[in-house]
Amino acid sequence: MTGVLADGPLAGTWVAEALVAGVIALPFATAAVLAVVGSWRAGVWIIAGSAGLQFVAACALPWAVPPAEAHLALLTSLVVMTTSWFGPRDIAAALEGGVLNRWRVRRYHVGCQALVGGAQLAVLGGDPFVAWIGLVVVVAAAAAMTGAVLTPAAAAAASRLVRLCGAGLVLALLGTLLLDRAPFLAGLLLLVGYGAIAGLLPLHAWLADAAAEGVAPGAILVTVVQANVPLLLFLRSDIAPGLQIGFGLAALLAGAVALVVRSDRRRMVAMGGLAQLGLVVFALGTGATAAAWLLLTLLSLLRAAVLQSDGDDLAAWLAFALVPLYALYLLAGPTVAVSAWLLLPLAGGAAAAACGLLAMRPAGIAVGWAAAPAWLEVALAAALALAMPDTVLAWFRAAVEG
Amino acid sequence: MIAVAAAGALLLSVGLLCVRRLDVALPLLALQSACAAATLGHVAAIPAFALGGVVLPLAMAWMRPATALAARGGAVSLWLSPLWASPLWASPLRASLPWAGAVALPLAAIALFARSGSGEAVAAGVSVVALGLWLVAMRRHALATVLGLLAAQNGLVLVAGAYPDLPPTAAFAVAVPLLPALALADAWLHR
Repeated sequence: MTGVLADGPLAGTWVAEALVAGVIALPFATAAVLAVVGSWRAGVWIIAGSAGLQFVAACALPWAVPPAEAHLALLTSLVVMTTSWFGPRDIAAALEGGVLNRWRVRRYHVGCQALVGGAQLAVLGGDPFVAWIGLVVVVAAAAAMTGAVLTPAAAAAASRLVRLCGAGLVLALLGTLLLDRAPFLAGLLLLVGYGAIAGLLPLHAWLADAAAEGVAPGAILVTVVQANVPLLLFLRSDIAPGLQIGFGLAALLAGAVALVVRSDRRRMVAMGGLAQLGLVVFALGTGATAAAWLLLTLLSLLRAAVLQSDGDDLAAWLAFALVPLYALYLLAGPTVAVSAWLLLPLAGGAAAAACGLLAMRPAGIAVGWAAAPAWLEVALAAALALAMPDTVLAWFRAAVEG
Repeated sequence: MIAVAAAGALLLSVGLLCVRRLDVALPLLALQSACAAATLGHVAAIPAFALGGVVLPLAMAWMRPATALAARGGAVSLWLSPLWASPLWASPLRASLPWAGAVALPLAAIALFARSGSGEAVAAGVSVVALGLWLVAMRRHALATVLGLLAAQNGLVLVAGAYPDLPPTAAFAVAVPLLPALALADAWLHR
């Protein structure tokens, strides 16, 4: 992985460095402020203000850092900003339902901001070891957020997250150290290790519980923001394509089976994400990196939209359910170029995942101002998937080739 | 000297898999941390030993001085919980699983790295990491997770010792036991 300040018109200038430092430091500074703010209402507005500011700063990143890093940082800040708009509603509901108390809300808020800061550090740090340290912060923050909920199931989910993601991060650090001595083994360790952070097989067992037991905005950050960063590391690391294809297919098929078995909506979103992230890893293995990047973007936007609408919006759910079929359309050509036989499990897994999600679709369509962020994300995803303009296509190509 | 320290760390990893009590495991862990730090040849050896061999073991001893670390599937049972509870896994098969891992994992690592010519310290380090994670997988107790992650961190220190020009960020990641500290904080919060 090369330094992220090596590209872009502002590259190497103090403006670029200040921009990157600002996007990374702002969430940590907000976390420090939130640690001493007693009022939860003040806390949610501070978070919303900080997230808005971070999004504005991230919009300037394409001029300062390579497109892949800028893209992921911008996507992260967009999801964080739209999620922060639901803070007053969701925290009030959690307090009323006895899921959180005032002290736990403070811990939860600090965890939210630390998770975002850690993710931005991992993306923009420009060094594989800094990325690893950023992901340690992400895992610690995700455990604090999940464990803030006052139920034994949430405490168990947080412990499981620490255990499995901790084991994954040990393997990932070992893989990073061994990259030049044993490249194949290192690639395997990176896939298993960082795959745990993304919720991919085989260390994925924490994902569904963390998504189901946490407070709604926290579940969005854990399942969307935390899951995206390892994909950038897969893109930047030299991992054998065969390994990526195998891991991607395994995640797709396991997610599809879990979706067919079915449980509650939040767990289904987590398992749908497992299947679809499997498709992204598969796409990276086949060399269709622009398609992988597009799928990752669609998946992030639509997972956030589904969770923000609490799984009750038919439009967001349908769009989320159709992503595997869209992925099949995108990946059929590159898959046949590798091996036509691979099309069989790919098509089977994608169809099963889509059918599993469609079978659980909600009845109604969310309306009103509260549904606006989810609609914005669905509209953005639809524009990217169906009417992608040339400039956006060029951006995606540059993102993966940069 | 490095080969002896690496072999010592590997033997202590096997010892950690055998012990059933925390007060017995902690001195072994401190000794393993000293062996691993001795191979590092970098200023990062000091925080690696101070944090991984002294501070965190003392914190664990303060939390639960004489805890029994009963062997019942940890992460393995999280993945395969229905299968794990079935008669198929009943003793003696389940009882022999930790031993099978203790033999197979170092042998596999040594065979792999001896062939690639990466040196004994790297092979021993990879074995220690694998055995540390095996400890996490085999025992459900929260402090066993901390023990296993600390042992794995010592393995990472051994592997890092094979790199003469370690970048500062890598030295920090290897020397500061962030993940064991996180697991300890989790165990303390949910005790």
